[in-house]
Parts: sequence; C-alpha cells; structure tokens
Amino acid sequence: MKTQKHPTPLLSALTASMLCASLFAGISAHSIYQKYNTDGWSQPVIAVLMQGLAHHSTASASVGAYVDIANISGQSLTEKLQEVSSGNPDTTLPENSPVRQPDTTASGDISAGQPGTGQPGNPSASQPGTGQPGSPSSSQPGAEQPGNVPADRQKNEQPEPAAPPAEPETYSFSEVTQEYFDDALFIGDSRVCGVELYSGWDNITYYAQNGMTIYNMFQCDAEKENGRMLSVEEALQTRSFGKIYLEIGINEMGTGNVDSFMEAYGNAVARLQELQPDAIIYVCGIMYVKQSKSESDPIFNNPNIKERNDRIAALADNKDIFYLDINELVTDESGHLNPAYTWDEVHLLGKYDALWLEYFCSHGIVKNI
Amino acid sequence: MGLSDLNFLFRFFPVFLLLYILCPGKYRNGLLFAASLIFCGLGDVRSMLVLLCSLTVNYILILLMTLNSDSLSWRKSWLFIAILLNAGLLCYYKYAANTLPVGISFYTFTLLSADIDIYRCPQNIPGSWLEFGTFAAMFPKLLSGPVTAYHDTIGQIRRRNTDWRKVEYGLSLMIAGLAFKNLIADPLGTLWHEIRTVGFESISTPLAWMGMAAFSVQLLFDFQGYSLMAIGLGSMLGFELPQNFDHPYRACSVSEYYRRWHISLGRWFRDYLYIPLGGSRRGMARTGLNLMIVWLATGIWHGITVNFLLWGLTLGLLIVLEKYVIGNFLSTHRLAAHLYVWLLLPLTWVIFSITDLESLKLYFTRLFPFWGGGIAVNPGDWLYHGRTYAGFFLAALAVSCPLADRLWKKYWNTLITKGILFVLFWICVYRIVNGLHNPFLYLGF
Repeated sequence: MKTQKHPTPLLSALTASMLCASLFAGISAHSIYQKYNTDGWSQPVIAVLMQGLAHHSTASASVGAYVDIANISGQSLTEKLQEVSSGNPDTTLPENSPVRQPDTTASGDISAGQPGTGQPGNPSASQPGTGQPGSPSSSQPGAEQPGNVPADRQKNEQPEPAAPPAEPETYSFSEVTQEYFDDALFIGDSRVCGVELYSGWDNITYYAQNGMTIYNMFQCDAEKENGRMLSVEEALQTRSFGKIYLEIGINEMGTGNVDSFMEAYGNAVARLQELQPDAIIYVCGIMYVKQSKSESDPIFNNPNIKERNDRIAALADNKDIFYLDINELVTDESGHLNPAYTWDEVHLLGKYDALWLEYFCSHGIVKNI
Repeated sequence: MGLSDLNFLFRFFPVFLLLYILCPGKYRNGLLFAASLIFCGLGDVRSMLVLLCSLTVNYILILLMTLNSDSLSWRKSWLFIAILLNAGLLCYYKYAANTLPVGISFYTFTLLSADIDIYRCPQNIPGSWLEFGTFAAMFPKLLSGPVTAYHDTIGQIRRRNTDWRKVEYGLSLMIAGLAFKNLIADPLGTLWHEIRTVGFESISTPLAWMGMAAFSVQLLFDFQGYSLMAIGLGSMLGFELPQNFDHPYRACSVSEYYRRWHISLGRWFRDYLYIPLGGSRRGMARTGLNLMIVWLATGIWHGITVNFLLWGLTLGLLIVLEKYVIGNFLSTHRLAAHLYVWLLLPLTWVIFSITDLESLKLYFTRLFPFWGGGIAVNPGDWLYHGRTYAGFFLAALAVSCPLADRLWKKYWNTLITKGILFVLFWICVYRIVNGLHNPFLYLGF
C-alpha cells in the first residue's frame, strides 16, 4: 500500500492538475466564462473556472427550469417589459406569457402613473422606491386609488353598458391582520430566514435559505413531503398560496450585472405566476446596508441596491404584482440601514425582524373576488 | 496575502518552490529571505519596511551585545534596550497605531528570543545579517508563528536537509491544515457569525451553548490549520518547525490544556518570562504571582480591551487554583477533569471572543438564562442551526479522536490518503474562490 515507486505522487498530481486547470481556465476565461473576473492580475485565472463551476451548480441549472418561458420569441420577458413600460406600442407580450402585460387598452397611458416608468437607474419622482428611503412618496406602488384615475384615463375606460362591472385596474394597500398571512409564502435568502426564526409568527410558509439567489431559488429546498425534500419548484406545483412575497437579491449582486439579474428576476416572477396563477405576487425591494458597508464595498452598496430596487419596482403592475420596500421602515435619516438595527451591517438583528411583518401588515392587498 | 489565499497557493508558493528546488544550497537562505520580504510586502509595503527595520535593529543590538560579551552588565544593558525597543514597537502598533503590520506580534517575540538567547549565550551569534533575517522573517511562520526560539532554530537556518519525502509530507500537512481551516473552522465560524448577526438577546439558551462550542472549535481548527500549513511549508523547505497544537481538548486541566494549545507561545512565556521571574521555586505566593503575571501578559499580547485582560486573569486564577487546590482531585478523577475542561475552556473562549463587556454580559445571561430574559427569542432556533452544523461538529470530533492520529501516522503516505488530500485541496480551492472562506483568526493578533 505504500507509495514506493514514485516519491512525490501528491506533488506531481497537484502540479499537473493545477497546470491543466489553469490552462483550461485561461481558455474559458476568453470564451464560456468571459463574464467572470478575468483581469488576470488580482486573482489567478483558476478563479474563473471555479466561479464557472459554482455557476453551473446553481445559476444555470435554475434558469433551465423556466428558460423557455423567458425566451419566448427570442427575447427576454424583462426586455419585453422594459419596452412596454417605455411606451413602445409595437411591443406586446405573447398571450401565453405568465407575466401579464399592463392593460394598455383599458388605461391608455397607464405607465404614466405606474411604477417603473422612469428609466432604470435614473430614478424619477414618480417612481416607487426611488425616493429617499424613509420618506414614502405618494406615488408608491398601489398608492394610486382605483377610483381616482386621471381624467384622460377615465375617458378611455368607459365600460360598455351591458358589460359586467370592470375589475379594478389597480389595487391599493390597506391594513391587514396576521390571518391575512395564513396562505402567504415568503421566498427569500438569509434575511428571510431571520424573519422566519425571529418574527414570532408561525402561520406563514417560508421557503427561505441562506445564500438563496434569484438564479437558484427554484432548486433550493422548500419542505418535506412524505420524507422527501421538495425543491421550491416542486413544492409550488404541489401547494397553492394566496400571496407570495419574493424578498431576494442581495446575494446576487456580485454576479453578473443589473440586466442579467433583472432578466432572471423577471423570469422567476413569470414562473411564480405560472405555478401560482391566483396568487398575489409581492416583489420586495432589497433591504439597504449600513452606511459604513455601503461606502466601503464596491458591490454591496446602497446605490447598487437602489438601482436594482428601481428595476424590481418596475415589474409591479399593481394588479397582480406589487412592489414593497421595507427600507421605508429600517433606514435612518441618511437613507442607509439604521446602525442600531444591525450587527453585521447587512441583516437585521433578530429583535427587529418583526418590522418586516409590521410593514407587510400595513401594505396588504385585498381583492374582493 | 495569507497561506490560504489563492495568490499564495497558485502563484507565490509554486514559483518559490520551483526556484528553491533549483537553487544551490548556499543561496537558499538568500532566496528564502527575499521571498519572505516579498511575501510580507505584497500585502502592505509598510509591513515589510517595519519588519526589515525591526530585524536590522535587533541584529545591530545583538552585535553590540557581543562586542564585550564577557561583561554581563554590558550585555544586560543592550538587552534592556532591545526589550524596550521591541516592546515599544509592538505596543505602539498593537495599541496605538491604526494598522497592525502583518506578523509583528509573532516576529517580535521571535526577535526577543534571539536577544535573550544571545544575552544568555553570547557565543551563539548569527553568522550574518542574512542568516538572522532568514530566521526572523521566513514566510511560513511569519504571519502567525509558530514562535520559534532562536536556540532551537538557528542551527536549521545554517544547515538543513531537504528530500522528496519531506516535501511530500509537508505538502500533505499543508493540505490537511487547509482543510481544517476551510472545511471545519470556516463553516463553524459562519454559525458564530450568524449568532452575532441575530443578536445575543434573541438566541435561545441551547443556541448560546452551541455558539460557544462553535467558536471554540472554529478557533482551534483555524489556528491549528494555520499551524499545520506553516509546519508543512517548513518541512517542504527542510525545516522542522515546532508543533503548535497537541489535541488540547484531551487535557484534564486548564494547565495541561495550555501545554497543548499554542505550544510555541506557551513555551516562549515559560522560557522568557515565567522562569526569569523565578518560576515555581520561590514559594507559593510568588509562584501564584508569577503565574498571574504570565497570564496577564498573555492576555495583553492578544489585546488591551478589557475582555482580554479578563480572559488572561481568569485563566491565571484557574491555573493557580489547580496548582494549589483542585489539582489532586483532577488528576485522580479523569471523567470529572475532562468535563471540567470541556465546560470551562469554551466559557473562557466566550470572554476571548466578545470584546464589548455589555455584549459579554448579555451572552452569559443567554448561557445561564436565570440571570435574565431575552428579546424575541425563538426556543427552537438551535434545532434549525443544529441541522445545518451538526456535520461539521462531528467532522471536528472525528479528526480529533486518537484513532485519527493513528490512521494518519500509519497511512499518510499511501495513495488512498494522497487521493483524499488531492480532492480536499480542490474542494478548498473551490470554496476559497466562491467566497466560502474567511481570513485566519490569529492574523488579527
């Protein structure tokens, strides 16, 4: 059993494997893995290969589950949505698209008062989530009252006399109680794990996992059924929910860019709607980080989070998809995560996790069906 | 750049090792010294300058000391100056400056050992500045030790043998250390981090105990992992660096624990502080005082926040207590002694870990909840975390048992073991790249 013939099998094997892996990484850094860090200076090129492997084990596998939906007509849903929201009349989503197109026939220029009509990354006063954290604006998603639509929109919304009463175009937030969450599902990362563990409510279903990202969320463990652990994808095919809260986005900030993130996000929302067509989808803005973190971290900082939140907010149609932003409640005067609320500059302390529910209780959507 | 950094594993060390193997023996010290300075300077050039200045000043002081080596008072004067300068430099950087030069706590003790050894035995002077610099700065032990004594190491600087078996053994140790750090210490460190993130007031009592265990195991495997890597690197270069850990949790007393934990630092304090103070030869009261001084100094070496002083004094008191009161009981009741160590030492690591006294008090109220209540406590949180981390605790237990030692000694040089180490290396690399990795804890001291 002793290694007699070759004096250094481990050294030889490691040297050979390091050379081969580096060579392969060098080639892939300019081809299949070119989106990863390839500056070739700060890290050995082997890092590219390892990042790519990590991506294969998470991101691309998860995208595969709904890639067909995402790329209908060879264009991503997010791109479609962006074009719709920018007012391009020639752009329409396929009829079978799970992400519903804003009802332009009924509302005319609905985008004028709708979240996400500003240019992404170029926040405007009328865009939800773009105001200073802690100062909710009147243009917040859902704040628009169904019976308080602009005159020009009313003109276009004259119903046919014989037609049944029109479904409200948009809904506004109202106060709800704990029972509202009996059929609610929270999907999210470590921040949602905190809510699950320390908010004190046990009537909510959580599919939350540390390190969950928009890329891997459908493959993450959800719950056990007959002794077998179901993935989020499988569990959503088994159970039905009335409300789904999607609180995700911080872990992905070091991967890809805002566009690739939003493409995956849009696809995820589309898939959620396909799996749970009757559920109200709440897309939640990413919670900010503490000022010191924001000012020292080139990636996980509040301007980057805000840019993504603006884009997430643009997904809301106030009909089936609603945007929520807890930052109103947890930020200080400077717009950063309140330092008293956090130890690690990113997560809320357990005793403040109930703030999430407090906020959600004051931002419920009740549809009268 | 640390020993577990990708740049070290894939760039610095392979290039250095190749050059070292190709280099003729008489130039190897020069190569090692130059590489050590580069290693130090790559992270921070100022650190390299401080190191260079410090070792040069010490070398000059040693030469001055030996100018009139027959005169004890002459040597004593220069030793006094050397201690003053080294202690002053260390105190300035540890307690007053904003940044801590890498490895200064460790190489300052190494340099002091040279000063004191040459004061004691002036015949054994370094052959050259290069030889002295290599002894003080060699990169495998530069960052976090082991703290080598001059009289133990200088011979190896002058002459050492390298063969392929030592290279292979060193590489095996290095990968084992990397795995200790990356696959056991880091995940358990995540649990401790999560507990801090939740806030001590919200954790259940079982989770508080689990967190205490997690930090204790993390610290052990983190530092032991680093030490194994350093010893392994040393072995690859032909050195025999001293063992730094010897299964401390097999100890039956706190005193024994610290003969097995960070052994090189313990020896340093014994040889260069405790024994010069009189050791245990000047009566019970003086021995107790000497022990308290040594442990207070150990605490201060780690930091001057109150928790480190408290930690050092607590350990000093326990060791004095063992020496004069409960030592006999512990030596005759092994099970009770083990329980005493397993319970008490982790509690002292809590003091070590939490620098803020209010938070420390809070943590103890969660460990012993009859002292106070928590806020938003989830009584079942320990199950949630337990499911995630039980495997890492079990892995730590498995590699710490005597059987693991015997298996390693018998089978380290087999192809199966090499295959396992090969796989472990690449798993660690994967984790390092993808951010599942933290710096070594003792780099902060």
